[in-house]
Amino acid sequence: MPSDFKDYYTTLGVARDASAVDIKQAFRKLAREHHPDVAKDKFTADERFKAINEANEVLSDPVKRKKYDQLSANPKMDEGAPHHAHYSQDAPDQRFHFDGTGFSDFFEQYFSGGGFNPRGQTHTRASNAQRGNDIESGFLVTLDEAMHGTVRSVSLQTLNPQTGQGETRNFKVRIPPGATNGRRIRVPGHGELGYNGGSAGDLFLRVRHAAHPDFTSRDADIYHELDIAPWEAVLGTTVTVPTLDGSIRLRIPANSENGQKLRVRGRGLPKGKGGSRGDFFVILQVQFPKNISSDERALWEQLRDRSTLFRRQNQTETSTTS
Amino acid sequence: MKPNPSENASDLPVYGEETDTAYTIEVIAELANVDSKTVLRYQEAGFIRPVNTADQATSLFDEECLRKLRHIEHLRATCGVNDAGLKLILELLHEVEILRQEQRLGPR
Repeated sequence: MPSDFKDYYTTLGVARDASAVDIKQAFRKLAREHHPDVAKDKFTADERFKAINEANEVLSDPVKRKKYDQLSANPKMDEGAPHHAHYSQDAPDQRFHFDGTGFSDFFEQYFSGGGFNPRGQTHTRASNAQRGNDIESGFLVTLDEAMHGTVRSVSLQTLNPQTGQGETRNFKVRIPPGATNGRRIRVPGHGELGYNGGSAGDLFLRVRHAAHPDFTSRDADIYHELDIAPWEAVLGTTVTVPTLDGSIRLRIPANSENGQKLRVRGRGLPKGKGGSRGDFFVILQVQFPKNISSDERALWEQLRDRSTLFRRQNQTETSTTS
Repeated sequence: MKPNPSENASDLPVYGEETDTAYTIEVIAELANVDSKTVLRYQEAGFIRPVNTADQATSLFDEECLRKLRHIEHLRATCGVNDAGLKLILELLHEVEILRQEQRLGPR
């Protein structure tokens, strides 16, 4: 059952030959605009945010982007392509479709990275009853949801091979505070139906943190890239930095380096039920001015002439490179 | 038109634990349809790890252990893998999962 093709370039509003930087910038702009926490129309924004995230998942990864470009150039590849989590490979007669996980069928089919769908193996000899397969699906969780925990509605549509009837099952899934990437949430009895009176398998929802315009996650730790000026790195400064639960004032020490990580303990995601939290890391990104005024140029030249760093032999000569 | 999952959502059943669930060896064995001795053997082989705190005498297992147990039993039943093979496959699958995350999130 081929799933609907998604035009990820249109979703992000970039050209097909857009650079990785263009894609990153487009994602950040759209993600800020449609983030469910800031948008006025929450429901529409939520759907749009998920679509933007999905497009970014594919286009920001060179391997996935190449595969996507090949798919869009040759739609026939769609036929007979492998199905991952949404459609159990082991039981082709029984189809699954989800709403509410945050990923489209198209994404799950080609780009989810696969999930293992353990085959129901439990034969009870007397009745030959067989437990249904467990199935696994990606579950998009925003960092804010992972921070505070939430309950999300999910709709699962299946086609029962025994009756030929479509069935819809609606339920809610509790996302616990601190749900880390890769954690699986078990939904008992919502996997494949059992055979010959066997019980149904379970559904495992595998948490995938949605890309955030300002933060990335690593287990319970949160990372934030902070752009600073060269003089701030050299002289040190104090800046206001956003975190998942409010802004903090952060002192950047003098003589900081590009790529240096500053750790703020206990401002990451919650860890278990003990009340402890991961850490918040700020990664310094020293930025240089692209266009400078004549006054600024004079100051840079003055610095060049007085600084003892990398003194070149012909330092005052102006050189050009082709 | 697809149904909106959020409609009339107040009466729907809620899954996923409010607090971290922990099963005794007997319960997790029943859920995975194996006997307790098998669970113990997998624990001793290092395939699954209990989630006990230091002051808990009885082994307790979480839902990730349950998933792994079913996974292991699947490999045994369908592929005829012995313990050495299981160890290798589980380590490789774990490695693949880590690498996929690294690829997606980038190394830190």
